[in-house]
Amino acid sequence: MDIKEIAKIIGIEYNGPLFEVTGINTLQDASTSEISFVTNPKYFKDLEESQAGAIIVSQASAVSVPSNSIALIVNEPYLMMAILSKCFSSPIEDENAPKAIIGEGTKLSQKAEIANGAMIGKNCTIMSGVYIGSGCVIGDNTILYPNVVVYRDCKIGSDCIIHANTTIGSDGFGFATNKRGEHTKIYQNGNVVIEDDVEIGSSTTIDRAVFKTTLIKKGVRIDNLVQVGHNCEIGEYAVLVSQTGIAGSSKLGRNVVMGGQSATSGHLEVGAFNTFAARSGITKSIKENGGTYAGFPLMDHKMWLKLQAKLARLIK
Amino acid sequence: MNDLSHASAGQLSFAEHKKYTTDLQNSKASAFLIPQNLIEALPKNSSYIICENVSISMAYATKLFAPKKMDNNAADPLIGYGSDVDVRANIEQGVVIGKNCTIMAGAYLGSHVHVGDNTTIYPNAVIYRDCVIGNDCIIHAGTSIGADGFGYSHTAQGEHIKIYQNGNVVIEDDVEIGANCAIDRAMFGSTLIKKGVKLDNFIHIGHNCEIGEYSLFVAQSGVGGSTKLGRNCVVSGQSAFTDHLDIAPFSTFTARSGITKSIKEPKGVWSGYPLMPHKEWMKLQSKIAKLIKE
Repeated sequence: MDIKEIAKIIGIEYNGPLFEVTGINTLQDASTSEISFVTNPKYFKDLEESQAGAIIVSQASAVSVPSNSIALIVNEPYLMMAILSKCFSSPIEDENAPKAIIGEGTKLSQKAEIANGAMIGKNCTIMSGVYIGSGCVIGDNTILYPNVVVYRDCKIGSDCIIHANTTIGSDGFGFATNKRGEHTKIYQNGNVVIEDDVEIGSSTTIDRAVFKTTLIKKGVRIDNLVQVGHNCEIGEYAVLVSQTGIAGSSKLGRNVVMGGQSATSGHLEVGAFNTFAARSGITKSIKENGGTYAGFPLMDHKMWLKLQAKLARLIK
Repeated sequence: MNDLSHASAGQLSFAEHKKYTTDLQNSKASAFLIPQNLIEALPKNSSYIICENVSISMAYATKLFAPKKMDNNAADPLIGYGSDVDVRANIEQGVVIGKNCTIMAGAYLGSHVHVGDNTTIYPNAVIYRDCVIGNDCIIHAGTSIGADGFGYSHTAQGEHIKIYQNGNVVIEDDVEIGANCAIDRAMFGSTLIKKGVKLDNFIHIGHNCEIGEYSLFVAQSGVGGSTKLGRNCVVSGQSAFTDHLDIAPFSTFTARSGITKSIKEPKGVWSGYPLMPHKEWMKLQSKIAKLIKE
């Protein structure tokens, strides 16, 4: 899509150099043919270092746009990005892609639906009602139980087990809200990548990234009814017990254990080998490794036990 | 393969710690996986394998006894008089469905699943192989019954070795289960949902649980593995139990209760996390409210 067309969609007049825009991306990852956006002052450092061909900014931030990028100045940059995200979304299915490739020894139920352009490795079991979207790639020996849905362009490694009714790659929960409180969808144009030897329970949801990838690393174990938000990264061998939720863009280190019904807020980084007791509510990043935590607000598990003892005394 | 107390002759069992000495002595299993220090406790004439790490050896052994995903050699499905099975439902070999049932599009009934009479299974509900569902039940859309329980043995390097879940789920008569619930199959034996139980949406029931007659679960509540609830328990929204608890009948838990210990006295009303009697919880909340004003 031409930069001039893009300017028109976001309601500005454009007389600068013309180039073909290939997508939207974050400030850090955008290439010279992509556009990016900035809304939060905390990303100004990324703004100054961005390679993006053009950047959607407010008047106030326009001065910080690097000289190699073009500033597209608007009143509501986030909303404009949301409107543009639709222009770069893929069609739901890719009818023109070649027929799906199914590896040797793979058992495929006749009642499963494999979209064109998908690739499935050797010795997999794909049971009835499973849906695998266009451009998906699945490794060897992986089992998808009935009614598992894998949205387009997602990747699942070898030796994985995904239980019934789990959804991989549905849209992340992202929208821009205008001044009247209405919400405009931010199309989620990234994907989900699940590495080897991962087991995921039933009715769990792993949302696709807005840009790039939601990543579940090797050996992770996820129980039933777990929510993993868009752009999360779950470290190797981490364990997420039932009804846990990980909000968007949070990163868990390897072997992190999340107890039942625990949750993190978005954009956090949690060090390796940390354990969270059931119902923990994590709202800040944790740099240390190997700790044990509990409660909401979160505290060291020993502190939490002490606090509970004090509270119990209050009643007496 | 089975646990110490349920294993019969011809089965393999295992004991990890000395705390299982009595169970080991009384076990009817023919062979055991044990650590060196339990040799003395073996029943007479039994075979055994000494394992460096019983837990990991046991996990590998469960795979040997895991049934196939589908049993294509079983008999054609039997569907009772008056039952309506949608052509887009998938009924595997060996399934038995009673009279006057409704099985809707996208529902999946695995090999050897048994369903009683007058039961309704809504679209996309999935019943894994060997599970049993009673009469007059209603299973709502997107619910999974009999998926593998969350069981692994852990290596020193922090890797997780799957313990194959070779049991099943048994749902008795007149049970209603909401949409997108997950009831896991037992490791050995059965996960049991007794007569008249009602579950709301988004409920997790772990492997080997037993839910007593007429118990009620409100949305987003969860039960950890092997926990047993007595009859007529009421579990309100977002409440949860840890594993291996025994809960007395007629217990009521208000919303967001977190139950971490067994409850022996029936008919209690409980709240909070950590759990306390509901009246104490009310008192505590008013004290906390006063704390803020100070």
